[in-house]
Amino acid sequence: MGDDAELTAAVLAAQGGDEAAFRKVYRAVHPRLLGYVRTLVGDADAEDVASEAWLQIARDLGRFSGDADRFRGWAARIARNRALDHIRMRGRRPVIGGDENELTGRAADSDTACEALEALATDRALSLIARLPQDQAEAVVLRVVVGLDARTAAETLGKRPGAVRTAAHRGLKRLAELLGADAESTGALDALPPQRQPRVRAVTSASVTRSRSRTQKDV
Amino acid sequence: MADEQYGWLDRDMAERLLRGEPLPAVDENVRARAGRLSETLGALTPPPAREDRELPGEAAALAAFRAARAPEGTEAESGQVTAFQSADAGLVRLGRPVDVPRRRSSRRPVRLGLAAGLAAVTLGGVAVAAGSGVLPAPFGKDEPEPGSSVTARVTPRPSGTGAADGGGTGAPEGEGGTAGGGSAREGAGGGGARSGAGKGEAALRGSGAWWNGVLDSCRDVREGKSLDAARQRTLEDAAGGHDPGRVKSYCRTALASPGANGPAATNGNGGKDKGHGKAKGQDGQGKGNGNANGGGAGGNQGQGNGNQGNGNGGGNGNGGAGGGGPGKGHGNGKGNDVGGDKGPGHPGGGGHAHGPKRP
Repeated sequence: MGDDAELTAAVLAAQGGDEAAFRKVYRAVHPRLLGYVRTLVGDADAEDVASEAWLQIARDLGRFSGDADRFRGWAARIARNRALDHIRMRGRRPVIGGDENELTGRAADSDTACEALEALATDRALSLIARLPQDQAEAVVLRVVVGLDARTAAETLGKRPGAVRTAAHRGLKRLAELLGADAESTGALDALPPQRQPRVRAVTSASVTRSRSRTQKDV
Repeated sequence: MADEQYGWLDRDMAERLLRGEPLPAVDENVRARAGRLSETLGALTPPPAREDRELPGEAAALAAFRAARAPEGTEAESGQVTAFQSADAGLVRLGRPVDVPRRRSSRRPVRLGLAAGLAAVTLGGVAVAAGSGVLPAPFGKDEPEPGSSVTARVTPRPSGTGAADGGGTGAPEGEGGTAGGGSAREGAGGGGARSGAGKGEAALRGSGAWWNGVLDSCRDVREGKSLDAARQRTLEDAAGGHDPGRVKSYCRTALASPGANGPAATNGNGGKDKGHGKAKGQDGQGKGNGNANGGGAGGNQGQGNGNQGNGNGGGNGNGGAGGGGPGKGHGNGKGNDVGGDKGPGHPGGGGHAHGPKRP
């Protein structure tokens, strides 16, 4: 959590006008924000949208108040709005829950084999995410990519924490299913690391699957 | 059935995965599947940025940060609705209202302008560096010397584009020139972008003609002649101040520099470089600017430059000018060669302005 404390302090200092602190904030948050935006608008437009978001963040920073987690949530909300504007202007659907092809394609731009592998893994993960319903995908991405907790993710999305928690959980399940299906089809799974384990389908526990009960699904 | 199969993925496990926490001790099968899921999630997560490296977009964000903190007086108030605002209005339905209340639309252009300027600086860095030296550094240095670099780009570049190296400097409003060159040293550069103004003067500054003018003025001063206002001003600009002592000392150094007299030659080419301003056209305006500086420089440095006399041309381009204007730019480079050995001159680079760039 040292990171969070540092980010909190940097945000405060930046609000006081400290440029170096703002730079620090940027470096700490931008990669995550960009990762999130990419899932919304696709790879091609992600940087532009993210930079619009930063213009706004820089401008409105004075009005923000809160700690590191809230800051990430606030920044994510701004980025989300910029992304939705962008989508609306283009008359397109969000990439998430839409056309997975728009997410991918980075592997081709990579300079090294290593980067290419990573990009492939990322492309592949993105294309899986794109197959989730949008609320699930966004909940997962906000938690995992942006690093928000359930409450902040809920604020970002304008939903209740319970709903977001449920959506994220369902999203993970769905992902696990997709991964299982892919693994089974042995298909051209280039990107995933070799499977170390045989896929045994044993039911491993008697755990209750609570998510089956449809609690306020999409509020 | 799916639920049965994925029963291992209970809330606790889900939370751990979402947080990126280590998985609890579970049996092999679960571990394998959870591991796969966790790898997938990990692939989504961007690697943290290195603290010491600038990220894409960082410069623009910083410029916005600065602009937002500029004194209120610099921002005109206006009631226009920006694209942002109108766009946000529609967002409300998606959730809570955006937490970005009123904004002053007028800031945007300022910010973009700054951002553009900054971009120009960044992009132009190389060029600036290459072209530096041409202008006297306005700052510091008691003993101003007429630049000393130039070398960077000695190679003749046949073509006329100067562009390539990017560079435009050009000061924000108008005087490109000054800024341009001078600043080079500091990196400043200047946003050219903004008003376009670049003006010819800019160009001139770096050019051989300009340098020659300065030298002539210095000679006149040395001989006790008085200069007319324009020349006096040019000289003072060059010297970086109007204190007579400073001007004198500047002239001493300038006249003593190799370039000052002779044919030295070496570089002859001066011109080359740069020109071209890159500034992107950001907001509508054309921007351009560049200025070149070029090479001219020649003059100085050691290298003799032969140029002198001939101006080398320089590139110049400047396009700048224009903000907008399409067109402006001129390039020009002239050739220079003269002096130099190098040969046959290659036409200087011409600058290239691109004025017309408007988005």
